[in-house]
Amino acid sequence: MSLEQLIDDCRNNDRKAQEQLYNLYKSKLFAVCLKYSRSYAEAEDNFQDGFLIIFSKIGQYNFKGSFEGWMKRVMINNVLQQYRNVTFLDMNKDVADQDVEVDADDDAVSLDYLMKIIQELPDRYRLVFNLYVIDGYPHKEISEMLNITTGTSKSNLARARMILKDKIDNYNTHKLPSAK
Amino acid sequence: MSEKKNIDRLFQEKFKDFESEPSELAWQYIEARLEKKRDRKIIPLWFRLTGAAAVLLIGLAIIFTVGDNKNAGNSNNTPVVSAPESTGNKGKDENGAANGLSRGKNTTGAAVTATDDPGNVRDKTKANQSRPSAVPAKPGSVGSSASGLPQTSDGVAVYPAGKQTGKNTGAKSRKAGAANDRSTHSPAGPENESRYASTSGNVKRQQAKQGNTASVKQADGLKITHEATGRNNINQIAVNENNQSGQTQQHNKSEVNKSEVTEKTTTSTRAIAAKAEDTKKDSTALAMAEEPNALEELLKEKENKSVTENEPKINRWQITSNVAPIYLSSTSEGSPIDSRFSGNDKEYKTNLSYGLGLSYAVSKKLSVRTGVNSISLEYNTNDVEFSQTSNARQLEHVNMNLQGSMLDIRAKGESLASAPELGTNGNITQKFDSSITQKTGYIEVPVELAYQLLDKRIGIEVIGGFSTLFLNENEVSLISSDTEMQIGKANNLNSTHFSTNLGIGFKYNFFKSFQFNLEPKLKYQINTYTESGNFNPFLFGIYTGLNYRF
Repeated sequence: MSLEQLIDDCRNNDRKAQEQLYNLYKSKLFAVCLKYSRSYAEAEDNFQDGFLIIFSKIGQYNFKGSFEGWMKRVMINNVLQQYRNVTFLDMNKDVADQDVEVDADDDAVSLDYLMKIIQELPDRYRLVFNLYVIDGYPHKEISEMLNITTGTSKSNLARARMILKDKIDNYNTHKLPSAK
Repeated sequence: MSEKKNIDRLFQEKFKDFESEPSELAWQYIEARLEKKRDRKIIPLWFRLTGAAAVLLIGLAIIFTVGDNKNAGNSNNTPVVSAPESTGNKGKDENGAANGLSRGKNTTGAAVTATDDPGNVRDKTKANQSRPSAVPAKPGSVGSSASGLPQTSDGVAVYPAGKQTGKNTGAKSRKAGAANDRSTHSPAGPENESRYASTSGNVKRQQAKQGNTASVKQADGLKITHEATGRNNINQIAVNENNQSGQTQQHNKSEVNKSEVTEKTTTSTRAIAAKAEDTKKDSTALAMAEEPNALEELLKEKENKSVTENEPKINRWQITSNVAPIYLSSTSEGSPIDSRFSGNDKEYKTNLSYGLGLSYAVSKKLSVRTGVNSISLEYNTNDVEFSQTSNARQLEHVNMNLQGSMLDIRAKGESLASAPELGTNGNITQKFDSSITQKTGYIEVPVELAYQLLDKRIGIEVIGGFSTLFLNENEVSLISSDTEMQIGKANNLNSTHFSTNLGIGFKYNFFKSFQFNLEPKLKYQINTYTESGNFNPFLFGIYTGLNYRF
């Protein structure tokens, strides 16, 4: 069955199709949730709610652009909703966009650790960092999605990088066993 | 040895193909929530059905009240009510039950309408049981069942009328019922003419590439059903106004009919709604290739797919009830009653037409429509005088009844055919001024196409098509200052004739699926009379109605 067919079936609440779609994409989409959420538990909640939204809005997908991308977007938007009401102090604006480097020893800096420190980031920084660095959204779009200025977006990004760099440097120095 | 790397790059690389398996419980949670949502959706479906039923009921209520008032005083006619018919489908529980129900009612209907005139008993249509559906109905659920759905020729499983019409297969054809001659004038019966109501415009869905045959059956020229594969028939219920001695009987029947209608509507629309499948499979087309690694390949998104079908939410069907004042006139002077009256002044009455319609949107701009209307027409021929005489000259195109045959009717100023007759007291027989009223009534089945010019909250469309009209009322009367008497029936009226229709429709949408429309239409009548006496009638009607979309 083609993907298109599957999508159509899901539109009609065909349970089997829905399950099939879920199984196809669950791993990718859960990964997205993990990156954007504060914790594993929160990621699970966001994941489930996000999928429900996907199923209910699947009628709106009009086969333009990638379906996976569409689903990811739905997931991300759902997570962003959580933080819409969270106020966040914006202190530093106009931080220059520096080139931040770290020691990257592939063995030492494990994925698990990176995930951990990302989740530890303050919410706004985490969202901006994910959106910009990992998912490639431009600042303009990020500012719209988060309802902030592009300047804020850039400064948040810079701050996020600083924090992450610190943590990685610490990790390298202290050679902590990989925490999970 | 550590290498310096840009922090962005570091994260990008690490997370590039990051995937993580969620727990098993996640799906269970999602599934449970989906179930809950589905149950809630069934209720809105019922809203739709009741909406459609409401429109039908309103239409029928109008028909009954107006019809009853109009025809009090007519000669006695068999009240005819065509009972609804739904083709049974053994496979489906719901339909089976409903079918039994409506069949039961059929019996009642038929029994009630059994008339004095044996020749007019209506057969119940020999209903064919359509092939049992291959899919068992899930008890209590209207939704489609799982992927065990047989598929139509396009390989698309056919769905309950939910949001999707997306991939629904193509042409839906519709056949309007065409009946034959149905006025049986029992030769001996004087004014006892049975009038038949009927026709059902039936709608049949035809799936493209399916070798569907719709068999058209006529039962005594009255009821026509199309057998289709599923239970996709909608019968229009055409109701005749007439009534006579059985006024109460009529009312009772209207009760029965109304509930039948509701039942019927519910059944048929439920049938459509639940119409999951098609029993016929086109085996060649079914093989939507099950490529082994289809899924894998197709996970590379199809960027270029665009939806060729309409948006899932389009509502293709519309059901209408309408009412229209009708202006009758003729393109030329003449008289179908008698050529002597060609030059007489004709006074056209405003008449009323009411009926039900069904339309199907073939594409975004084009829709096909049909329906059933009841029209009664009346016009007067003025400047006529009459006197009583035993030697009356008959009107050319009228079969005079007993009363009428004793009247000599002339155009004013016409020279007498014979010398004025002397009455018993030696005086010249008295002449009375009068006018002749000709009343004709038809059941009209229009088939029209409508093309949308504008489709917003207010819409405009162009409508064209033709109608088949079946005569069901025919009366010629003489009206003078204080009397009206029926003098006979026209004998030059064709029991079936046609009209070509052209008009413009204006629509106003309100609520979500309701529409109010105003459609002035011109209907030029063709072949109304066997010998028209140079009288070419046309109708101009302003049809106002209420639509419900589903």
